[in-house]
Amino acid sequence: MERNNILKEILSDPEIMEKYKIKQNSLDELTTNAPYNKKIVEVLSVIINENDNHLNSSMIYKKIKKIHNIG
Amino acid sequence: MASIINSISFKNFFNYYGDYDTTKYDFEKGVNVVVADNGAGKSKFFNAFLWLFYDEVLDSDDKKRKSVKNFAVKIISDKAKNETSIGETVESGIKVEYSTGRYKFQITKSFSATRIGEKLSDFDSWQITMDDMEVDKTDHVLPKYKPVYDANEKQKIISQLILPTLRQYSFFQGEEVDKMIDFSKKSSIEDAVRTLTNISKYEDIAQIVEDITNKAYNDLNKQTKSTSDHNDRLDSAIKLKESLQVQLSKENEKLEIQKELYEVAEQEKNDLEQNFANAEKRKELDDKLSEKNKTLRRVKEEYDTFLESINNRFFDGNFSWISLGFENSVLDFKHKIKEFRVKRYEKKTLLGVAESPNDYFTILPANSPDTVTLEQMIDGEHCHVCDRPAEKGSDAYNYLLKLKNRPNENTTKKEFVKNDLEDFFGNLQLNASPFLNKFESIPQSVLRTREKELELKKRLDKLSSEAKALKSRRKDILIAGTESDGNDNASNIINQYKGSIRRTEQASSKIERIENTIKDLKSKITNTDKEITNLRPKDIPEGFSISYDISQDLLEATHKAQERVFDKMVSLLESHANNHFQNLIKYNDIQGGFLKFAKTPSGGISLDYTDDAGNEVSGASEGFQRMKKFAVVMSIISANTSQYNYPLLADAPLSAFGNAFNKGFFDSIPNVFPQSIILVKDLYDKDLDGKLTDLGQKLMKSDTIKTLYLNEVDGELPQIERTTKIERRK
Amino acid sequence: MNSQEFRNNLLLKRPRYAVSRIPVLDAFSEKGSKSSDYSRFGPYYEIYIYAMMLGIKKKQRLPLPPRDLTKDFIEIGKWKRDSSLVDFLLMVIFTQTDDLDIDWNELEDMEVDQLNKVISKVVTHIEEYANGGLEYLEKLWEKGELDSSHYMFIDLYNN
Repeated sequence: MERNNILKEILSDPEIMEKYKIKQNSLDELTTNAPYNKKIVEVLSVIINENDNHLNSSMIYKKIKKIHNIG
Repeated sequence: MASIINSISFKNFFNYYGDYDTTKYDFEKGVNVVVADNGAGKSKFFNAFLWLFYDEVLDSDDKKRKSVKNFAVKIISDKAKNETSIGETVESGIKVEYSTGRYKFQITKSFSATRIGEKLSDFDSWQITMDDMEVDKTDHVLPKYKPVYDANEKQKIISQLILPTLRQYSFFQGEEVDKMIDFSKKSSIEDAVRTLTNISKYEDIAQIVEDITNKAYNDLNKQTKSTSDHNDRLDSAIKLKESLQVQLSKENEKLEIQKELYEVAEQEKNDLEQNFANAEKRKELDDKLSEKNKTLRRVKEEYDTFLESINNRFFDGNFSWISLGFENSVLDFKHKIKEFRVKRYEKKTLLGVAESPNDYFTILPANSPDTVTLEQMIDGEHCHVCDRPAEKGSDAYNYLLKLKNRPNENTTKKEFVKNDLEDFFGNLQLNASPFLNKFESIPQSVLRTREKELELKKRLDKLSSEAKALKSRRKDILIAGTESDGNDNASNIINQYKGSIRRTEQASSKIERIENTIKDLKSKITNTDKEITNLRPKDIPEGFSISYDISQDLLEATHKAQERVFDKMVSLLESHANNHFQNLIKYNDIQGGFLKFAKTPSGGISLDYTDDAGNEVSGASEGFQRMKKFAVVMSIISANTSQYNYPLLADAPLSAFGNAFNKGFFDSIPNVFPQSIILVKDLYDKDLDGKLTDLGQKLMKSDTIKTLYLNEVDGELPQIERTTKIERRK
Repeated sequence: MNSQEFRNNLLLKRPRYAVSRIPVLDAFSEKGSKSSDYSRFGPYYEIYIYAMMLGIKKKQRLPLPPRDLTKDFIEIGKWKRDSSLVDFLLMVIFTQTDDLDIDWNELEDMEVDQLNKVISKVVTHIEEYANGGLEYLEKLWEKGELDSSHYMFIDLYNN
């Protein structure tokens, strides 16, 4: 699935993997669908999915704020 | 599912005269070849597809695309126009049939033209009505065409033949190969990568993340301001970050400008290189051509003079052809003159005797032979008296002569005839001697004349065809480069060239400097950001800072991912291109070598050819350059999916490729394209049997070539009558 | 008359050709039309000589039409002036004693006016064989049976 590939590609960045403690084997199994076990995965997945749903950045940001519990 | 073109037909389209049935090409899966000399329908083939896809055709006069409607009058076959009287209508159009795995489609695009004026080629003399595009569809199981009515579906059917984004790689004319894959142009490599990857998605996502990052930052700042702690250092840090960001965006703008300048200068340099190389090449050919023409003129003159001189050989004593067949006459003459002399001397002798017999008898010694006998003895070189030979020059002979020439003591020369014609006849024989001894040699002489003529003609023909070949090479150079004799000035070009190199160097160093500045700014911004984070009040809900943090990280990661995707694709293209390239050149005697895709300062890709040690190889032939580019085109196709599903319609400048390349070319193409239709002119030679060159005949025999058509135009006919005749050879 | 005078009288003569032969003469001499499909000689006298010799070979002799339908051209002495061509031609002609109805030895005993008549006979001989030869060529030309190669004349001559 293209969305999953994009997710994996972006998160495969070594600095990200280190900072957010993402292991290689869990990276391989990531999808843009829930459940998400890390915030960063959830944020990126929402962005990727809603982009395909043609939501704009403001609408997507609203969703992300909810993820971070900041309204 | 691969789309395969089944047939292309034309109706009164340019120089294809007649209905769709008369000018139809049936094609198959695999390699199809259409052989056509310039003017015999080669570029018109492309025009059919331009019409099909874009409703345009290429005006060969100014090389610009024009809409079919506006250009209609020139599209209609001249012959068809001529046959249409005022008030009558003629139709012009194209029809393409193609199949996918499941369906077969037939697309017809046409227009009608009614003649309303006298002048055939005047646009005002015709009233044009565009017909609705007709699309019919059938399945393969029960083939029966049914019309398609829905406009959208019609468009989709056309697009399906070759997808728009891939058209530029699938459907091109020879000269365009050069322009098409100019990866030094940032946009063309980006186009290719965009076509081949989902990089646009990364761009979208990066944009969204950037927006979100900014929003998160703003929210964070709002939160910060709303808490009670008033932190000057925080404020100034934030302000600093803002001003740094403004500087950063200014630097980015400058960077873009420099990159563009670089690209423009680089493009100019490449064009000039081409031009310069062409100018030099052209000069070289011009020199060769003028030498050749000089020799040709000289030999022609020699030949013409020779031809004119042939008939002179009748009257020229050195050849004496006029005497052919007159041996008997000459013998007869000799015989007659002898008889004449004999009778004369008889007469003279008798008269001499009658006048003074004593003189006669006392003059000669006793027992001397009479004069007549003397003559006979001298002629016969034999002394009858002693019955011994008396050869010319011998004592006996000289004695006989002396006897004969003994001066007559009678001083009065007694005329014994009214008209002394002895000298008349004698001189005729004497003077005519050059004509008297050539009889046996005349046939030889004629033979040698014929041989000499053939030899001269052969030399002439050889020189002629050499000159023709040079001219054709020169013409190809004109087509490949930009031509205008004003720019021919070599020193002018050198200066411009040096100028563009200078400008690329300037831009390049500026780019480097700016990039360093940007790097600096970025790290300053990062540091300031760290400071800001530290200075922020600790009682802000952590969600805001996390949100901002994550967005920043995602932004950077997305950009890096985008770059990776880009680089991976370029790398893949490079490996595919090398693959194809090796296949294309495998019949050439070239040592290994690799195509290297190197990034230019402006973000484009330059195609370098390096040897095993990584050193750049330059100065390769024109055909070689073309092959490089072809390899890249093919890489775009093959990197797309493992199987490219669209046909290739290309104009192959085989003469620029050379024989070894051509073999490699025809071998490799079927590996990448399930169907290809290749238009060539270089296989045509009107003077040869079967009108095909060696390579053409080889292709006829090859299994990979499925069909071969020969287009011909009868150049002898007047323009109005000239049409393209199609002949299927395979 | 001595040899020199006899020779000179002969060489001063200007043979004639039928006006109706002008197309043929033009077609095959460069002094004629501008260009031609066929091989050609140079001046008129060349094709004339060739025709005469051809006529003699083919034994085709044709009297000229009445004088006003004929024209004369360059005198015999000027045919290829510095060469021995004319001597050869005269050799061939004078050999034809039966045709000319002369006897060399009798010539020496003739009166001047008789001798001049003989000279005229020789000229007529030349004219009539030339005419015959031209007619032969003309027939082939009209029937399109002439070869357009550069060897047309020699091939015809060789037959």
